[in-house]
Amino acid sequence: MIHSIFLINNSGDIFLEKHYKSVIPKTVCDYFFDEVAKASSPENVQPVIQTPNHIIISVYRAQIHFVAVCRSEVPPLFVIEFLHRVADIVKDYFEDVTETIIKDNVVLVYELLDEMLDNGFPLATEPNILKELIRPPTLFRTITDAMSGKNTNVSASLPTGQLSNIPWRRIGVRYANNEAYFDVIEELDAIVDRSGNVVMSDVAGRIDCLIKLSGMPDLTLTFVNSRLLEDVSLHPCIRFRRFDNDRALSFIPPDGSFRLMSYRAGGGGGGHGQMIPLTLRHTIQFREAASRLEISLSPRPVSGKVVDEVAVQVTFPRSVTNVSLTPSVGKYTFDSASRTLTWNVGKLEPQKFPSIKGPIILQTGAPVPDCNPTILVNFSISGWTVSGLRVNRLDLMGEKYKPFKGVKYVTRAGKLEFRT
Amino acid sequence: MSNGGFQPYNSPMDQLGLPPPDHASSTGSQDGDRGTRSSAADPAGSAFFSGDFKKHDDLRAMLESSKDSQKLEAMRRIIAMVAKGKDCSDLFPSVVKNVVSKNSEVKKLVYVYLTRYAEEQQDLALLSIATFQRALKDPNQLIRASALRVLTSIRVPVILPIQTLALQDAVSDMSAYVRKTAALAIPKIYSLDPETKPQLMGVIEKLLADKTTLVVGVAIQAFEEICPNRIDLIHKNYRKLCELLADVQDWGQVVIINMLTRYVRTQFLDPAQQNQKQERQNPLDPDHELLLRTVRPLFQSQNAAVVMAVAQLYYHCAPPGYMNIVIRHLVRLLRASPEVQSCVLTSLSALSASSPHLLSGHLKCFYIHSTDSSSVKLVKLDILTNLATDSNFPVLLRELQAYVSSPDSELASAAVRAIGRCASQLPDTTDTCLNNLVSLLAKKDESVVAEAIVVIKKLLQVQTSDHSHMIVDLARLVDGIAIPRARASILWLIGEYCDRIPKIAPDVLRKFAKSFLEEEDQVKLQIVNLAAKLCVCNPKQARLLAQYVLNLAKYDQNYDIRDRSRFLRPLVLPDPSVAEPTLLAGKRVKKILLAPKPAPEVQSRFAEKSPFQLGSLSHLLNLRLPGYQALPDWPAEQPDSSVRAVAAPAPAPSSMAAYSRGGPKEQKSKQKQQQPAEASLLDFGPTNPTAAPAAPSKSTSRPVDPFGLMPDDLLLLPTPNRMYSLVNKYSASGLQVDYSFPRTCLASGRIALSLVFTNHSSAAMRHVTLQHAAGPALQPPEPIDTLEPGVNTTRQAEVAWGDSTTACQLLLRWDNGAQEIRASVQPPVGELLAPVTMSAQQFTAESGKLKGLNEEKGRLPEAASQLSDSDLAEAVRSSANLVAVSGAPTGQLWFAGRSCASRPIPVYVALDRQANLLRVHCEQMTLGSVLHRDLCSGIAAAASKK
Repeated sequence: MIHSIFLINNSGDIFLEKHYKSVIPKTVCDYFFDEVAKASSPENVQPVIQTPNHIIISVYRAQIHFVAVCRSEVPPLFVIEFLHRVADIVKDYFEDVTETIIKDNVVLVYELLDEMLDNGFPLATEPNILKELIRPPTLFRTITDAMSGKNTNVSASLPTGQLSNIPWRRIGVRYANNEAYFDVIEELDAIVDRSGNVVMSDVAGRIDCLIKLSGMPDLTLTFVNSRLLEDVSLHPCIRFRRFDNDRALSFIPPDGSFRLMSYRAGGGGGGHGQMIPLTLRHTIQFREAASRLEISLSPRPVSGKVVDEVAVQVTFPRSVTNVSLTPSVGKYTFDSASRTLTWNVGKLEPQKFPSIKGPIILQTGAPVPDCNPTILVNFSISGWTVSGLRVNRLDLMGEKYKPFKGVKYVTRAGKLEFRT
Repeated sequence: MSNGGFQPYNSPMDQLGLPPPDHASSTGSQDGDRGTRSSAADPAGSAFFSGDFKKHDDLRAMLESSKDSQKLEAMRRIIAMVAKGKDCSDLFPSVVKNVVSKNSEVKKLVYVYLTRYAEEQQDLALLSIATFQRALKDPNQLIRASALRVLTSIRVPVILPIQTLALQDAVSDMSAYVRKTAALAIPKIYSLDPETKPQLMGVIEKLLADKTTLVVGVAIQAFEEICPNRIDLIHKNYRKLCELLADVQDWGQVVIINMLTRYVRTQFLDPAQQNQKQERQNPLDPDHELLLRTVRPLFQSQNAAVVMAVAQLYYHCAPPGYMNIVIRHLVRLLRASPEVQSCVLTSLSALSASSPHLLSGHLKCFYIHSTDSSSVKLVKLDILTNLATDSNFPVLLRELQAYVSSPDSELASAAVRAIGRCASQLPDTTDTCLNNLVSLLAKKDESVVAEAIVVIKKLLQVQTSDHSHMIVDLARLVDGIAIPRARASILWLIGEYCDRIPKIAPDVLRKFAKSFLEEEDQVKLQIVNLAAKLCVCNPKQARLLAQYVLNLAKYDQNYDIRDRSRFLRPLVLPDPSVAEPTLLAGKRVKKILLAPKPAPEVQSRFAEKSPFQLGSLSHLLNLRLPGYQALPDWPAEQPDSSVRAVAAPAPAPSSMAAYSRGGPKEQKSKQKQQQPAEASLLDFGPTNPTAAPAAPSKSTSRPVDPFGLMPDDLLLLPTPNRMYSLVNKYSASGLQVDYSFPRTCLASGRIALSLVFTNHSSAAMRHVTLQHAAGPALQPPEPIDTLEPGVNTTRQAEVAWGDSTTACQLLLRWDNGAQEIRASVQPPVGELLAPVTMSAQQFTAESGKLKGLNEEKGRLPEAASQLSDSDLAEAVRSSANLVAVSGAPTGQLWFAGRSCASRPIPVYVALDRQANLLRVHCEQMTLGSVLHRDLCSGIAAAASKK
């Protein structure tokens, strides 16, 4: 399936390569570089590129292109999902994915890649199994290794998860403090047109967990209003049948943090338009003589919660060279390379209407742009969800201790944009 | 260390002429102090300047060192170089020696190195083979598996026989993990030598019959790579695959579902077809329905590839009514990463072209965000256009207009094209669209204007009504437009409709004749065309201009333009000196030049129904790739559906019990029949096949499908039948009676006894009876009228033992009372029990209530450590009629049961392998302690048999 994997940074260096069948020379990546050169930004590189003898499938994560080379028919999503899984595993091991981290731990990453695929077919991709095969570096281990003079990343026995039917959890997990945290995060996607009408809106939710429980806990999470959940996707640990019956999540959790489920909160179409917690007024004028920008925000009450982390972002057309604006609240920056204005407003106080205005400076001699930039808005509200989803209770079975349980609700802006 | 290991190889190594170690040692120690990271780049860097012979000397020295830490450091640095794509093949001799290292990481890294370079250093690679062969026999399954993995990854044709042999052994390995590795190895061997196909087919067939979730997915992958057309191998495994699917790893699910899609297309009738032929829809084949049902929960997978696989299965194989679910879940994937989004959109775009009504409800999901990647934007636009209908057109047009004024000029021009496509798809909207497009001509963005002109040109060709004012507008605009394609389009329009704008056309030609030399080629061509057309329509004004233009074109650098001018000149400017033929052409020249032209078609990329399987790479690229298996057409006649029948009763759909996904031990309730080495926890097959014929109850011989087992079925299942002797042939003049406990559960608190009467004498025995003499009540067996010599007959009896193991005294008579003998039956305490199925939670709760004196705790016999989980479970089950509790944590085996007395006493048994403990929880202390003793001796006996 997958012949080779290359990791390539933004400057076109191949800093890691791994071949699973015969060696494919690096030159195959030249086709990829051509494609990168054609694309306006690294994000715009086509995920699937056809070359005379190979198919190149790539994923762009954390400023790194994860490139897989295939020779024959293979489901493209299979490869894409796998490459994302590679990035996820690296993140799981080293807490972040960056080129430096991978370069610093190149042997470990190489060993991981070796365990993850055999002859191009996924072998072990569960973080829990991998961590038993190849131990992640921890400060504690570094110290003990230095003390004992023994340092090995590789385990000599088969991970228990490999053969079990719950491959996502290993046995013998022990914690002094048993804790289970659930973050219910909802993201509001919306497009507002220039006259202020909501063209489309959608709420995508997910539940991310951090579970630190000893033994083999069997958890059941129930919701107050589970009928709000639509189009769910579930972590493999969740018992499908139970969810189908009474919409309760019953599962033996993996150890550590993972995404339990994601869902779409009902309503569809324009159902959540009125839920956008702020209104935005704007005038952007491009004139030969005096181009101006004015944006003002006003909060819209949402059940008494504070709208925080508000930021406004505008990317201007090519002929704009600079802006000189005066914000009433917060600070703004202008990146002249990408021509992006970012205005960090921060907390939206009730009864206050933050605004930013001032002239836009155009390149002299360049034609006056007649397109209208889109305004992207970011915000975050904690303790509140757009859909109103609430967790009812969490029950623990199979173990005797009483865990500490925590649920957090956050609503954020997803792709929230105002057209001008 | 481990000098003994590589002693035999020492001589070949020496021949290779290794550098003298002391020469290298100084550099080695220096380099050793730097961290892994800096050195990763360093050795090669320094080697760049030094000669080749010195390259990697330090590493060689470190590999030769006797210290593991030195070796490890060297290997890490080598692998770091390999990872960077630097050539380290010259280190091969030094590295390969360390294949015998005891340090697991050194070994692992050497393996990694070997698989990378073995192909280039075939002879040297052979030196490592013996180590792998030894490791293949290792008791540790991880070592066996990794040896097999590396051995088969070494792409050296010489060792092919060794690889094949190792593979054949591994296929029947005890450990499912080794079998999985074996399945993965099949394509490797095949790619090394396709001639091995017949052998590999046998291996695949064996692996396909495997019932472990770990193995199935990989086995199917091997099947797909080697013999994807041998659908007949799937028949017997089809139902099993359906049932196991939910528990297979996600990657395996994708492969299995894709393969089953092809299977369904060859084995069942088209559900949509049935719909048409008959008034009502035929019910689906139960097996077809089984697949659709078991696959459906996977729509909720977090892996996009699985969702896509399920979606394409439903798209290609389900009755039409299911398409809404498919679309819903595909649309859900649009929230995933941009790469997934782009692939899914391509599939959706194909769907939107073939059946737009399915997607019409999701129109807003395809609205374009300014943050989408450019390819996503274009595909979304394509879908939006496909979805355009008269009713949603106003909304859609407003949306498209928003895109036209987007700062992304690529999107803007694509949006203009989209408006054009809407206009040609929906004839009623053409006027609105045209007006819109014309208003775009006032824009400042040239590419948008150019695109608009091209689209207008196309639309005007389709339009029959008069649009001369529009052409006039265009003609006025032409001076301001620099984009050649747009200029060419305007010129073409003016030429085509020159009769409608008789005043302006010659003037446009005049202007362009002036600028002819500066124009782009495509504009020049259109100037020549315009000149020719005008010359025909309006020779009075245009003739001279045309002559001028044609003259210029005649000497153009581009041969197309030169050709065109030479071709047109005799038509429009006939040379008076030449006679007839050209003149004839001259008469018809108007017909030639101004013939009505067919309107261009504006279509989506996927307008033609793609023949490829949805979601495949071939579909995405619209190109048949190697390895693509075409989706067969539905068969016209129903193929034989009995081929899928396995000897067992069809698995009940509800068999995926409460913990369908991840029911920890549930899947392990497998039978051993086809796989003697199957590592299953619960084993219901007869332990001793020779005892099977003697086993009395019918159900013993019933092959049990392990996946169809309901908890209730488990109660009825016979266990390993241990035969006990009641009377032997020596003491009873030729009559031998053996008994066993068939473990059929009787409601009345009685225990069933199965008796086998065998006549070993030479004469027939008449009227054999068995009567109760003393002790617990006996329900005597039916008398046997005649027992011929050498024949055995089975009879059932019941004894009401309750909770006690009191012996039951019996009186055996035959030959009408002439012969008489006394015997007694005393049951082992384990046979007084009946299994109880319960969940792990119940087990912990219930057994927790029986603590203290009610708990009999003791060490497991030492021999237990030699037994695998399944053997241990078997040993327990052969000593006591208990059933394993599913969901016990790994390393623990739990069993539950109750006594058969009128007031049943619960009995719980827990084996803890790590703590090496055997606990029996039971209210009745004597029963508990006896059971504990019996279990221990049973386990010890099982271990000694091994």
